[in-house]
Amino acid sequence: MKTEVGIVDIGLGNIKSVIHLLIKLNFTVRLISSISDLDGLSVIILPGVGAFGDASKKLFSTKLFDGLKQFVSKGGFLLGICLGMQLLFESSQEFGFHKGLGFIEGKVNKFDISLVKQVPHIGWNNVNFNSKEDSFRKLVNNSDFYFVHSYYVLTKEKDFVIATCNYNGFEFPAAVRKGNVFGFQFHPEKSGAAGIKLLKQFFVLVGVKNE
Amino acid sequence: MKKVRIISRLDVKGPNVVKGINLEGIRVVGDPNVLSEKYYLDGADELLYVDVVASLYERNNLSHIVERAASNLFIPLTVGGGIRSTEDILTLLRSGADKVSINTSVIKNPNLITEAAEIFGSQCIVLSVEAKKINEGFWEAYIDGGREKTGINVLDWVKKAVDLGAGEILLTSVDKDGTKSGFDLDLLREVSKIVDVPIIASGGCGSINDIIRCLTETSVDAIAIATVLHYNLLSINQIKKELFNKGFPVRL
Repeated sequence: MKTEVGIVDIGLGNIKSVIHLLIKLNFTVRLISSISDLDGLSVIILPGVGAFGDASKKLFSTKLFDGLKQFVSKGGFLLGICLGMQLLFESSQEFGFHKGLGFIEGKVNKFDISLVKQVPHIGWNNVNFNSKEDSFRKLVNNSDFYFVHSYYVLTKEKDFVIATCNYNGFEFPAAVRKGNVFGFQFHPEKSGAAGIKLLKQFFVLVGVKNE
Repeated sequence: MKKVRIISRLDVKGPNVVKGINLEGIRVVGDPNVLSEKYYLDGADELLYVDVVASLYERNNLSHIVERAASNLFIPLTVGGGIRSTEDILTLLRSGADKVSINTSVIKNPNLITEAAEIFGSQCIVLSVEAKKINEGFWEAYIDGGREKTGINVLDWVKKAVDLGAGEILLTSVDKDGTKSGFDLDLLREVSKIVDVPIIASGGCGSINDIIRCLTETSVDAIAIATVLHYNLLSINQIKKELFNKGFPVRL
């Protein structure tokens, strides 16, 4: 029997690619738009396109804000992608001040154009995985992944940063893990073969079978 | 290090991929699903679909193609042509598009850029510009698939649009499109001086040398190619290998 993986759907953008990739990896998908959709799941993906503020408000209004926190505290695995990873942190300044889920200490800041020369960071860039998550490192270290973002996370908790990316000399967290909570700043579902390999390994890591 | 992107551009009319010269006189060159998959497997960094008759039907008709692409091609998809509102954008994103490219509607209503950027994020909103050279240092913006002139100076327009929230610019030379005579390097250089967002060069590629010249002499972020791919003159794999050998940062 195929394992069901949850995808948070708050109506803000492209989640089709994540859905299709999960299906390709032999999972079934449950779309989550309210707190009652969380029952019985062991892994949830929080995708992200759009602005932090809108997403944060939607998470509050659907009660998923608290729902996801409870899900994680009960042992569920949560993977945030792009905006989804940023939502795992405490706050963001995108179009005003907004609150994040707060699983990991840190803030979301806009890239300083005087440092990186161009904002948004759009395109393929290589990601350096460190030994904190060795299985990722062995599989796809230094591969190119697809980034499309104007904001990055700034955290003092270096122990939770499992990969970095260098954008025109500016290094920022590309992937994080704190316990059951994972985040990828890039889009694995848009990163061709490298992304597919990484996601497969993520499911192996969290112990979710795909057959 | 960030890589140069090689984007495959597919102009779509109904069920077909088409290709024209100077954005007109279009010929059918193939099936969008077949070509997309071919380019994906060959190493395309992104796929760009443009509905070239959207203005005739008053809407973008590419949702089904995008859905199909999103189901098995795991690279970024940008869709343009006939996008008029944030509802249109949402429909396309929900179908599987990652970015939308808009021209006519934002020339007529520039505030749509800000509206869209606030909901979906600037990185989702690509400003599509069709530029026709009038004289030294002056290009006029065209709309409606290169059919209608606007009297607007491209250099003024791109600055305004980026200030309003456009996250990327797809810059197509109407003069060079389909001619295989090389990109409009002056245009690309002038726009690069004015904006800080990534620029995708489109229109005129006829050889790998054209690409090399463009990357060497301008600071564009990406190249969108159509003619050379659809007419089997070059393959993406071939282009990337040669660029890599010449020292350009590309994803292999």
